Amino acid sequence: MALYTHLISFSSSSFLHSPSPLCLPKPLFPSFTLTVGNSTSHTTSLAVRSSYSEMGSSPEPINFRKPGIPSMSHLRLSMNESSKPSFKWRRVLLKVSGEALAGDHSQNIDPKITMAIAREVAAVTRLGIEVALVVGGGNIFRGSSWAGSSGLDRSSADYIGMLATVMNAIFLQATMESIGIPTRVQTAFRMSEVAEPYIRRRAVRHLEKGRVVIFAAGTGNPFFTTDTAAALRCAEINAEVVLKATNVDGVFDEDPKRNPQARLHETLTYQEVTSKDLSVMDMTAITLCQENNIPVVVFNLNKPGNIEKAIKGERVGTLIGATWNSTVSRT
Amino acid sequence: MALSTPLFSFSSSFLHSSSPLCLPKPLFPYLTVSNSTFQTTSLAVRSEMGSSPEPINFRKSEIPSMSHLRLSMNESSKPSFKWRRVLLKVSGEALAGDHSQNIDPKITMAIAREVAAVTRLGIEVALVVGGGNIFRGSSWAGSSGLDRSSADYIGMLATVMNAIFLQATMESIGIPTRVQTAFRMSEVAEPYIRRRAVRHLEKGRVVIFAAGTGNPFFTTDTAAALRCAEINAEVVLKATNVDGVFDEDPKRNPQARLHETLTYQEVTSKDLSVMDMTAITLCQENNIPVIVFNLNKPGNIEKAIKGERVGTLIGATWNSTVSRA
Repeated sequence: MALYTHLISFSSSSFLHSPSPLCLPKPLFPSFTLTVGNSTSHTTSLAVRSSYSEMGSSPEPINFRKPGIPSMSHLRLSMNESSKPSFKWRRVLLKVSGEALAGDHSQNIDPKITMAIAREVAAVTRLGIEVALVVGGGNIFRGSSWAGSSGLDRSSADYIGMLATVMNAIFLQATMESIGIPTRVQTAFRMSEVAEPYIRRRAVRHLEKGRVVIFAAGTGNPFFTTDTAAALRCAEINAEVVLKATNVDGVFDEDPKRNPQARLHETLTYQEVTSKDLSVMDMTAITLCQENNIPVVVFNLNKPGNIEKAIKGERVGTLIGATWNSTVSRT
Repeated sequence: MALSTPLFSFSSSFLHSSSPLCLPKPLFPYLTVSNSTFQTTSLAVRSEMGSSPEPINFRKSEIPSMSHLRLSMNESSKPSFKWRRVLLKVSGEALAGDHSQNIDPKITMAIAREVAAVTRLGIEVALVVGGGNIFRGSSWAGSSGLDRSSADYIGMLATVMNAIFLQATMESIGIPTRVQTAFRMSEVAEPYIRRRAVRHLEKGRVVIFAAGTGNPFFTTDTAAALRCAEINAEVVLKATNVDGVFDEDPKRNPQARLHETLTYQEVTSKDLSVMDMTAITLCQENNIPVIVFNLNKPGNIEKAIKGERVGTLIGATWNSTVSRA
């Protein structure tokens, strides 16, 4: 029965989805040939797998997919070997602040910036690097700056700010989908009509399949920043780095607006960030990164190509918690 | 058994209020409806005992008295109000004030204070808030990378942001307020459930509806008309930045004349931009009058809610309101 189901699925999906000169009985041959080195077999298997993904979550595709895992693994290794150079990180978390999305501030969200981000992320996802994003909401509503304002308590202000991050995430998702990047938004609390809820294993699965995942609504709790959410999500999904995209070139020893001679740090340690009170991230976020050995790269998002460079691990901005030659390995 | 339950409830009230009456005597006032002491005690019992079954039983026997009390309240106040339950539509633009930031706390506080004044009079107030001060979905349609549905969902979130802000402001001056959203966002607000909304209003709470209808392609004016019909409110009070509906754009023609009243047909045929077609049609079909008035003039919200002559009235006359069939 199982075999029969396979046969039907294989025939119908293959025949319906791709015009093939093969007549009906012949597909039997490739499906039984387990020669990994055979490129024709690979192609057919890949086609079948992608077809199965179209058929939803029926049990048969799961059964079929399992024997393919070694082949897939081999394919991935092969891909890595063929590309030069190898990349520093295979899975990254990109933190985009709300302010960065505002651009020239003529409106809350600048579509030119969202499109630029989408294009650069698209370039690296095609290389096989898995990209997750956390978006802030300060371009629309910054909860902490409203605290104490007439009639608004801090918790309510923070919840309003969380909704702002969801707005940014939906905007960014629509932009990415419009240029062909499959994207999922996951929110820290359940908003079924707008996005799927954050579920760690589901997020990881999306990334493994090459989709971009955008985390929104911060941690879902007031009093935490979206930088903290970025550090938390990075640790949860086992991403290897937090790439903090800002409007400045990196971390300086002084405020470059006040002192034009301020020097850009190429690398910093976590201790230096906390002791010197550099305003890179809030204390909770930097502590989370330190405890989980997560390096942080702070770079300027507005310079064309910087996002792509940062995701590939090229030397850009300021690196915290590691050196440019190697990354602290996770214990 | 039924008799003994009220007795028990009544006895428990003894614990809450210091009274010189000894235990056996309460039997007597219970049977005398006109006794003001008894009525006061009954009210105390009802309000303090929450939603346990006994108060429900007790409350049922008191319904005639309650009805009488309400009538009495109406009789004592002068004048009687035009509407007992209203829906106030606050556009997002109105919340922006001088546009220095997305939401002007002075305006939200002014709205809260005027709503507070009328809720104390017993009028039930529901609000629908727009989100155009933060994000207007329709104006982004066709923009680089953003489709209309996504833009509208973003706009719905903007209305929820406004609603939470307004709720916090109202609660800060002591008005119990609930936000109900058109789709479920448990950590932020309760979901829209019609009977729950009506119950809140009956208890004197303000209800703020957010997220429009929960569907893209509909405006928050349509949501206002829809919610008004659903909760059986008697009027949509549309608060805007203009004094009402003019025959021409008063910015272009300073001589433009303000309409005191209009019919639904006049609004649709003359293409006055009061509301979108869906909203005005919904109001017409459900015999819901609409008042368009200027929210920025102090006291206008209070006047509108009380049914005083302000702005432009659509679908009724100032002397009477079209009764619902």
